[in-house]
Amino acid sequence: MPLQKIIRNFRHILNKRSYSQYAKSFIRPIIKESDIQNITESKKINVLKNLNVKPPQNWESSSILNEVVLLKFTNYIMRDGKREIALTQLKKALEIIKKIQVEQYNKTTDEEERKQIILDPIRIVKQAVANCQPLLKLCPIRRGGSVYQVPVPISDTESVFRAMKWIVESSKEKEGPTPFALKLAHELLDASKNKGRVIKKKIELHRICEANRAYAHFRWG
Amino acid sequence: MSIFIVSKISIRFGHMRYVKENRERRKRTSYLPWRSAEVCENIKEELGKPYTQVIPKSTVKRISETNPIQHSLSDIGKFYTISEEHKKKYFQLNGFPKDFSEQTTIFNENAIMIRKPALEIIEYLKNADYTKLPIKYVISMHLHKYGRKEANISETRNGLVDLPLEGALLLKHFQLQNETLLNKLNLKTTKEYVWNQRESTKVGEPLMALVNHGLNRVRYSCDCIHGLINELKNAAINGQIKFLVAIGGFNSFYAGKTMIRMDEKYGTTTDQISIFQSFLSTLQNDWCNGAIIMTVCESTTLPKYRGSPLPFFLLRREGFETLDPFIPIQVSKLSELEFHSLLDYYEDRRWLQKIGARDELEFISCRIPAELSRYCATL
Repeated sequence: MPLQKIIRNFRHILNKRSYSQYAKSFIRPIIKESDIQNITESKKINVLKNLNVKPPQNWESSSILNEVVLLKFTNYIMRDGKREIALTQLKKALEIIKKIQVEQYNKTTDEEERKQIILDPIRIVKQAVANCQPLLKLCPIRRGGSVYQVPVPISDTESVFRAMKWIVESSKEKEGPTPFALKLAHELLDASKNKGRVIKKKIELHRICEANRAYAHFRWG
Repeated sequence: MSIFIVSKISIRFGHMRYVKENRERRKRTSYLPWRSAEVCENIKEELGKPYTQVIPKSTVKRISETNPIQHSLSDIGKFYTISEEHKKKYFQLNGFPKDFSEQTTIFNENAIMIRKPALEIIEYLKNADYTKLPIKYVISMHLHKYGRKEANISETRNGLVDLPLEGALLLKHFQLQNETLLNKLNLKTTKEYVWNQRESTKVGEPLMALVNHGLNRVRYSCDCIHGLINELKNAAINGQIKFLVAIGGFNSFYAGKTMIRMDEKYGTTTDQISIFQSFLSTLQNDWCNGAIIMTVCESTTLPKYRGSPLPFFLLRREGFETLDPFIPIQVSKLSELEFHSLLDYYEDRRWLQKIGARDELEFISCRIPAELSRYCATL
């Protein structure tokens, strides 16, 4: 092996910073008020009592406006590091979702129909992301001079990434002069009901994976 | 170079030893997740539970009396509803702000909270002496905006610009609100109006003929408004009617620049618009039996004139001097009672989904209604 290749293989070790402001024994803080209450009641508190705790990050707070899923979602909407614009777009989409759902709620008179409507917009976002998560992905692997699309199982974090990316992409694709926030809102609403183009995309990927099932053993070759 | 690499690796190995020692301790704290894992866990946790709608704890304070004249100071913070018939009659085209009319469709009812400034004006109007000059009341709020519009040069009045479509809308709004009243009063024109060689409105015709002419021949709508205002002023002087003028966003009259395009140029100023000039004629002290209510707001002016809600800053010297003397009425931020009754209403209509965060909302919004509605929109 040439020296250059060796260095390339170990680059992630060489370039990694091995120091930190805090020692490894420090744990991350617990931020949500409900989590703190749960932990103080349980036995875990005896372990945590004697550990050192880091201060919270800049983006972490116990505020009601702070939601982890939304913070993650803005990263995929964002362009050129303009986080504020991305956040306002997402908030507009949430508002549109709530307008549609609340209007439907107030206009229906039947009690049982009313109870089935989901009014919380953040719940709808979570439902939509969960419905769009794929189970497999296609990996190009070279065997015997030709490249095969091999189905490979996907980790939880990556499938969430795929789902969010697809939702954002498909709301950018739509035709017409309608604003991005409106498209995003309708895409999220559709996905939460297991409809729409993102769900179609997921089903098609699963179908190709099923067709390429014969290549699955190339993963270990 | 080589020495450098070795030293780095040695640090790395040292670090690995340290990790091995602390592996047990790290296992114990592994339930505290990192960012992307945290998102996955959050989604799973939330969707694991079945969804139940949030049920509000407190009830809304409502009042059955729909006539605002009957309300008193003890009713502040309560909600009253406008019926659909009245809404269709008085607020079909204009009158409600855009945000409010949007909310009425979402909430499926037209509810308004009683606040102090409205009661203050009604009390002034009740006790005023109408034999003397009209009193001007200035509120800080806003109703109308103007942007890029179709425009023509006025034929009757030199150097002025007509906005025919805007004028027709205004006449339609006037017609919807006052048709029954005008038919009952039986007012007639006191002057002959000649529009062109063939068309004219003669003396002694009903006042509604003037309005209808403006609606049928949109080109003359601005001249019709000018005639109508003069006729109403005359009727008020004679004691036939009581004349109330309501103007929203009055400071836009003195904004200077407009987005109106004449001869492919953006040169027209607000003084040149004929509708504004005819409304300014109501501010002159040459009539009685009436009152003028107008609102002043930051959002109706150009961005460079924003910065303070005070009337002198918004109207500038020119506008302030034409208005002076007037009675200023401040719309202050929500009191604690109003704040809680508003949030009760939001919860009742299922607009606010997160209950139990009132302290934080109060702190963030400073009880300013616009800020509060902005924060509640996503929660």
